[in-house]
Amino acid sequence: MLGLKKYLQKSFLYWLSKRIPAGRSVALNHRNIFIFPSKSGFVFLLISVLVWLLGTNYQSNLALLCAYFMFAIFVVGLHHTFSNLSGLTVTGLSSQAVFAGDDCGFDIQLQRAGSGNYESIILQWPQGRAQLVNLQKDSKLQTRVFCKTTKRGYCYPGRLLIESYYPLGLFRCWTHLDLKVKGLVYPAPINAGPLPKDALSLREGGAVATDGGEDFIGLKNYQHGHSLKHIAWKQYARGQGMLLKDYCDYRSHQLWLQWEALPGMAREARLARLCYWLLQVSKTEECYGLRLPKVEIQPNSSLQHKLKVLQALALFELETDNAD
Amino acid sequence: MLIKQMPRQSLFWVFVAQTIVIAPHLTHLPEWIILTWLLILGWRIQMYRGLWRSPKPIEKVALVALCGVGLLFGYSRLFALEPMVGLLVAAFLLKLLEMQQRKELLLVIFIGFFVTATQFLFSITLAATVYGVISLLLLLVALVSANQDVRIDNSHATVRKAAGLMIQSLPLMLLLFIFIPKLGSLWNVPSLKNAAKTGVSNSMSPGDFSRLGLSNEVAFRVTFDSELPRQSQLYWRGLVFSNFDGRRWSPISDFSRIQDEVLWAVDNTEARSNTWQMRPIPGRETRYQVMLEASQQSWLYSLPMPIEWKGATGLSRDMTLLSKNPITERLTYELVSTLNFEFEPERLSSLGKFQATQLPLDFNPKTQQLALKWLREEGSAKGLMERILRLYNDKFTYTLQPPTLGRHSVDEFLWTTQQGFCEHFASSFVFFMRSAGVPARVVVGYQGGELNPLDNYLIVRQKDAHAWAEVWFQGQGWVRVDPTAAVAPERIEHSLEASLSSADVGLVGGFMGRAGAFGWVKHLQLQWDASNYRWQRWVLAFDRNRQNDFLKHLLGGLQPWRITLAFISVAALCLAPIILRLLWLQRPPPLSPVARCLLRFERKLKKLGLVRRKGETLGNFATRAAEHQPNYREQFMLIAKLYERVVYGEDNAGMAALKIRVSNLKL
Repeated sequence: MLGLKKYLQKSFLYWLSKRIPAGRSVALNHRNIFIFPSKSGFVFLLISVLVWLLGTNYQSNLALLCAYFMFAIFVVGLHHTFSNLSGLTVTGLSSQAVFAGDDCGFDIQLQRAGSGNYESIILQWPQGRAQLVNLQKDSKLQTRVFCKTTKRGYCYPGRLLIESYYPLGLFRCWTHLDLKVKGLVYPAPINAGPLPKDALSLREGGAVATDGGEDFIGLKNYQHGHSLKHIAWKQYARGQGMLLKDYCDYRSHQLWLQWEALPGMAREARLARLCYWLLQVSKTEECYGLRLPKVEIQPNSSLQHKLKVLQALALFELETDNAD
Repeated sequence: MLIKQMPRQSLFWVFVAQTIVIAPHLTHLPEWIILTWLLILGWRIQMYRGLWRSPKPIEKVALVALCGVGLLFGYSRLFALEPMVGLLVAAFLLKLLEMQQRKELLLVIFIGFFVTATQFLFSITLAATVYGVISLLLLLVALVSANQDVRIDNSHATVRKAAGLMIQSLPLMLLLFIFIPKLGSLWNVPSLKNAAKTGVSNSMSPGDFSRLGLSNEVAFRVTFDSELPRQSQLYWRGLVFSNFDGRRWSPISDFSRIQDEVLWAVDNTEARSNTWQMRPIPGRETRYQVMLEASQQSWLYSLPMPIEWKGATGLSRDMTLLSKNPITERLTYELVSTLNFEFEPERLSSLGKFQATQLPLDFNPKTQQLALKWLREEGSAKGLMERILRLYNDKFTYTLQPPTLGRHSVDEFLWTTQQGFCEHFASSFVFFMRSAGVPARVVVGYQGGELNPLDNYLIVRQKDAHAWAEVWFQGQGWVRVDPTAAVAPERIEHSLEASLSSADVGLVGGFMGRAGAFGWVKHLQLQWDASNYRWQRWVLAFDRNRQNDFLKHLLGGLQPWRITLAFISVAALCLAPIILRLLWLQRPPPLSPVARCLLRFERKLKKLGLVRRKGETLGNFATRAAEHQPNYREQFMLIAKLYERVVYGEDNAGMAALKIRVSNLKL
């Protein structure tokens, strides 16, 4: 039974992928919108039939007119519900990276071509909460639709359900879009206590240098008390905010987040603990690096560096997994 | 969750719609339902305001049980229309208290549609229709707002949207109404209780007609296809009374027993002419449609003598028009009458003669003696008739407030009080003639009617109810004699009001009748009646026969393929504007002049097989095109340069140049 259900689901998805090909940006029209009476719509039809029976049996033309009015409303409502999706262009924008278990938000843009209002449109990923949006004054709207994540790696949210019952609730108009978006999911950090002593390694033969010389390695956020000398004025002028040019000086020691520091643990357990340490360390000003089997990232302390390390943790030994 | 939540503003609209929908039923709903309604509405409003909690399950069960008990014991008949509506309204109310989710809200609104439809079974006037339309609109507003985002609260837009939907549905509704075949009742349905019989009844005692004279209610309306007959010709014949018990006049027998004395087929002219001696004299045929209000009786009104009729209608031996079923709802029928005719001119059967001369002998002794004496003095029935009519003319008063009469009512009226209304004159006249052995009978119906000049039809009201007489003469047959015409000719020539004293006129037709004395009120009344009549003739009277006639006339036949084809094509016509409008709203905004120039340029180059690639700038494209077509190199480059200047430099002067360059480009 379960097998059959899975098979049907799979063939439905295959059919969908042919019918509505994946794309970053999809314009909704009669080719990719489905419409069918909702449960309430069937109840409404049933009641209009009852009214018709009432009018027929009592030979009351007014009751008959009432029944025909209900039927006419049903037909007119169909067109209105359909045009409440048709004419929209849906575009998948960026997504933010999250830790496994959190909801990953995908930015979706809805844009209308004409001037008609679009109301009460529901956006929902298969594993996520529904989001209700209206497109009334502006011709463009951006919203964030969340999807549950369970494990690290790339989160492929599947097909976005876009549906609407507006204006009468008698019809359900919907579509499933593959917007070719994916979100990065970091391992969920697990408290592993303080960083072990052997993560600290002295730099060979280096003399301690002060701020000011040395290798420029990137930018990091300005914090109160930093020397004005190191502010990245060029970036500031471009409106990117107060950033500091970061120089990795020849400090006496460096931190290494290492695979070997957690012997005997499973892969995911190790990554979760490394992630925890990483978050702890990145709060300080220390430079840190990452050593995983076949992966090594040189120590640094910038924001980009942190993201790079997190990404390495998220995708470790996964590239091949996702290929199929 | 946001999606399943009930929007607050929609709850408000449901309150409003429900109140409006239930209000017309208040007249026949029992008091306890009204109390329940107030309780539930109050509770729900308090919940809406956040002051009260929602009902506990036990309270809901108690309410449902109470309503059930009320329905079971509150109605004398369970299988009738009223208890059914009561049940529906109770469900409508209880659901209101119970609903928590959006879909339940929708259900409440849907039940509202049904309750609105039942309202039309109780009243079908134009006013009731307008009220029903408002109810439907409010239900639609509630429905739209139930499907709106909880966070949006723009009642204006909601009402506009609902009204738009309503207007767009009307053509399709009319189309369905016209084209979908009308079936008769599919099964027997319980009818309305307490439908009072109105108008002329099947017996006549003193005082009956003067009471009707107070009523301004419409009895029927008539549209003439040909010229309107003179007012004095408009005797709307209803029933014939031959039995008299001293006080009350009634027909010979029950209708159920004279069914075999009724001709149901129109084409049986020979039987009518030979056996029944009903002989039309050609020349004055008139065709007319009568729309009779529900009288709960089973006879119809016609101008004598009807020669053509349709449907479940038959002509009885005494020339009354009968319907197979009681008239429980407004009925429209079409007739042809001839105003010149002879009725039983040759002979009266002995039974007929006996029926037309019988009298209760122990009543009105003075009249019986005087009639015989006068007959001897005058020598002929005609002379006797003229003498009594002269007496009416000289001595009698026509009034709505006659003195009450005792046991010998005719004696007292003829020789003492000498004041009366039409039933006194008809009754005393027939009694007098019968006393002298002349066959005579009382005929009741309506006389005259008011012409509505706005739509050229006749309104006959209850105050036009009238009683007159028919006297039989050898060689002439039955002749209409109206003793009222002898005393108050204005009543026949004009109207009731014209014939009465000023004290009596104030009584006619109740308040509305009195208000009619003002010209503009009268005009408004006529206007309103004309719209009502039009509404009833064109919409309410559109029954199966009319539908068939109309479709046959329109389509040239009633074959299913014709109807289907016509339906589909007209339905498409109805829906096309809606679809086009919706598409129009979706159209992309018009291209800017620059974009149009660019498009034109690209189209020109496409003819040469040069297509701009995705992401290729116009400059690059122009360069590439120039390599292909070195002759046009300068033109291409100039266009590209102008384009860039207009787009990035916002150079309006360049726009004109660009336009000229592009249109002058000939490849």
